[in-house]
Amino acid sequence: MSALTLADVVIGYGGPPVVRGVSLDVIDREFLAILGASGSGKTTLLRAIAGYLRPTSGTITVAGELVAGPHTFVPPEKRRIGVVPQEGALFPHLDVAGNIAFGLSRDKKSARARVEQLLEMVDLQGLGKARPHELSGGQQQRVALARALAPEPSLLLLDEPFSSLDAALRSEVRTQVRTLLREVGTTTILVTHDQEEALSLADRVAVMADGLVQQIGAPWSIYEQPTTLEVARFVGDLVELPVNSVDDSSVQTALGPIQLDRRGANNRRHHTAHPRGAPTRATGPGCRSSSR
Amino acid sequence: MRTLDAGWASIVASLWRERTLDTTITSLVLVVGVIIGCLILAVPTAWLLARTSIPGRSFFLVTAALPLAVPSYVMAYAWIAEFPGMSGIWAAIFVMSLATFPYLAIPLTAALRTIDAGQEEAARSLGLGPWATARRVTLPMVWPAAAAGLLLAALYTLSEFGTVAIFRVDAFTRVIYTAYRASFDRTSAAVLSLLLVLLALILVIIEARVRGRAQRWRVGSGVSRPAPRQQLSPGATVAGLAWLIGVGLVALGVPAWSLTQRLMESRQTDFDISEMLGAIAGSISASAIGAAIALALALPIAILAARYTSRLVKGIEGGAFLGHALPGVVVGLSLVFLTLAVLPAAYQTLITLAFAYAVLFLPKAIGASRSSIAAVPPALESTARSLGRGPLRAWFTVTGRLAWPGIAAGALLVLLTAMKELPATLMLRPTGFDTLATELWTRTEIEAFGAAAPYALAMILLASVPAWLMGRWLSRTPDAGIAGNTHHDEAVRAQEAAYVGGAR
Repeated sequence: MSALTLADVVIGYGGPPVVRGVSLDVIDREFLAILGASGSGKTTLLRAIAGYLRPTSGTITVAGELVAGPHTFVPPEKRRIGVVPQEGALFPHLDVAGNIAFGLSRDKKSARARVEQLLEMVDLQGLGKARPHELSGGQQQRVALARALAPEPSLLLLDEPFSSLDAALRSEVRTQVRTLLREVGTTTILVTHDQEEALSLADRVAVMADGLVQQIGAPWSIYEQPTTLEVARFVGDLVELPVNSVDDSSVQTALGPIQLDRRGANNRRHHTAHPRGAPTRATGPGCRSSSR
Repeated sequence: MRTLDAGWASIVASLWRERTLDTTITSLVLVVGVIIGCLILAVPTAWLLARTSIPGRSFFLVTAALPLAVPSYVMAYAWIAEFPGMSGIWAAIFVMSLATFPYLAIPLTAALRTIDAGQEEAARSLGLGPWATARRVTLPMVWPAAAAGLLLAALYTLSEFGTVAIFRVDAFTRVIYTAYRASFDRTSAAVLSLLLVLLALILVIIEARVRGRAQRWRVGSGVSRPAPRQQLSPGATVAGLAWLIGVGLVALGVPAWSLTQRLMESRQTDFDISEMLGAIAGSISASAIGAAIALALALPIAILAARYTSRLVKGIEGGAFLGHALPGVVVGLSLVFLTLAVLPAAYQTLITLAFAYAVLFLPKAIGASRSSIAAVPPALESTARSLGRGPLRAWFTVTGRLAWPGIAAGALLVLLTAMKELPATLMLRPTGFDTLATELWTRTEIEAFGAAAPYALAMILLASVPAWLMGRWLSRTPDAGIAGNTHHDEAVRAQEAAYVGGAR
């Protein structure tokens, strides 16, 4: 069963729509990354999934239940969707345990046990009494994660959760979170503008631009076989070469003939290669082709 | 409304009376005089505090803000009690300038302190001398803050009743009050009120236009760096200190001395403690109800204004802020007319008085709650929603919970400011109902300066509570994670305190 299905979702804030018709299927227990530059509509889409705003048209289905449609709107508190916002957004008036227990039932005893369990899970044992501002950025993110996971959501949304961390910490926290989520098995959607993050963490990556999903697929296929020049430009550094002539299996460029990848579409006008491969031959490693 | 009842003929008649023209000129002269007085007092003070190495800066920053804690008519009372010969427009300009110059001095100090040194240095490197730099670079950058401060001072002056009445200056507020009280000359009071509101509105519009055009942005990123302080020569230091001490003595020392003198006298005259307690009880009860009404009206507006920026919301907020331009005497008068016309039973009741306070001080309640609500990131509330709390519970357990110090501060501010309100109280109070302000007023009016002293002291104590509370609230670092580690310069904090605590 799909954990989340978006069907032709359009979202606008009164002006021209920011999300212009997105359809997406997220498989149970999958880790999907939505990758896009700022202004691509990815955060708006995430806010609509969480229930913070209402799509203009289209439907959103979570675990088989329609949560947003023409005559349906389930408020965020009834959706069982966990959110880890940017910067964590911990409640500054509550301690760590209070933050994690925020979404749990009022039953003190079971809540306390669950909080302990989650603290252990995010490796913050003994910090239940600490105040959010006493924690490091990475610890704050882990508390935010524990808080979102506490009510056992059917779907977890991560909104650029690592962007506020400095580079060294970022990859460390990233790995921790990925490992933990794999253990828990919660279906997760990560929204990010960081290509490396999306490609290294996710099972599948959806690239968004101009309010549309441009391409969706496994990280390697996004990287190796971008279907548009825009996607190719976005997911990594490029060398763009003008093509002099095209035949069935290769193109002629200033760097010599480059073999075409037959898996892609026809009618190529561009051939792209990452500079790290510094290919002079078409079949060299890191070589990608793109077409329009 | 009341104005229209009277018919156009009598409106035109009272508009063109020579007296009306005189009143308008008097009020304008008063306002312009106070603006000039503020500039003279505030500009050197702000420059000394913000840009020089003068010793004792944090102390003088406090003394420059402290006149705000003395209600202006208490200051007028203190001066006239010491120098009974004082009267007329010059006396009023003098005292009002002393009472209002902090509105300019504090934001100006903050602005001079916080603007980036880069632009000034660039101007110097482009060949401009220090004076040309000040005129062409610094002045335009501090202008928005200065204009806002001057507007507050001007509005304050326009709507001030006590000082004007004590010095027997026939400005709008006094003429309106006398017309209403002495002859129950309704038409002329109503016409003059409208004229006064119109003048206030013109001031607000002028300020908004001046500020709108002067809107400044910092182009480019990077951390801004405050301007270096100028090292003063020993002679200049002495002169600067003499200035600061002199201003402090005139603005605070003389009133304090006069008040102490009068207090000594009042021990010999009969001082009725039960009357004092009655006045305090009156002040508190009317103001507390007023604060409760103001809070109830302000919260919805504040929430909308903090979270949404649609045109409608801006309109509602702007409408509420016009209250800043609404003098107490006008609100008092219009509620007298309104109750008599619509609900005679409510005429001169506690509720009507409290309602007048709420209308007058609504902007304070909105301002304080709005900024504290806006300081709570919306992500916190939406996260609470995603964790299963409904909209109301999410608001109360997160946003309301975090913003309550600001909301409470707003309500408290209304409470304490309402205790000082004089003309509306005089017009709307139930018969026999007294507050600290009215007791002080009746005694000053019969020149019983000694007997008035305890009430003046009580007013000052009351008025300094908001200043003190604001200082405390603002100096407490906001919860980490909300504002991050934004470093607040002393001057900036004082500016916030002045704006929250300011106006009337």
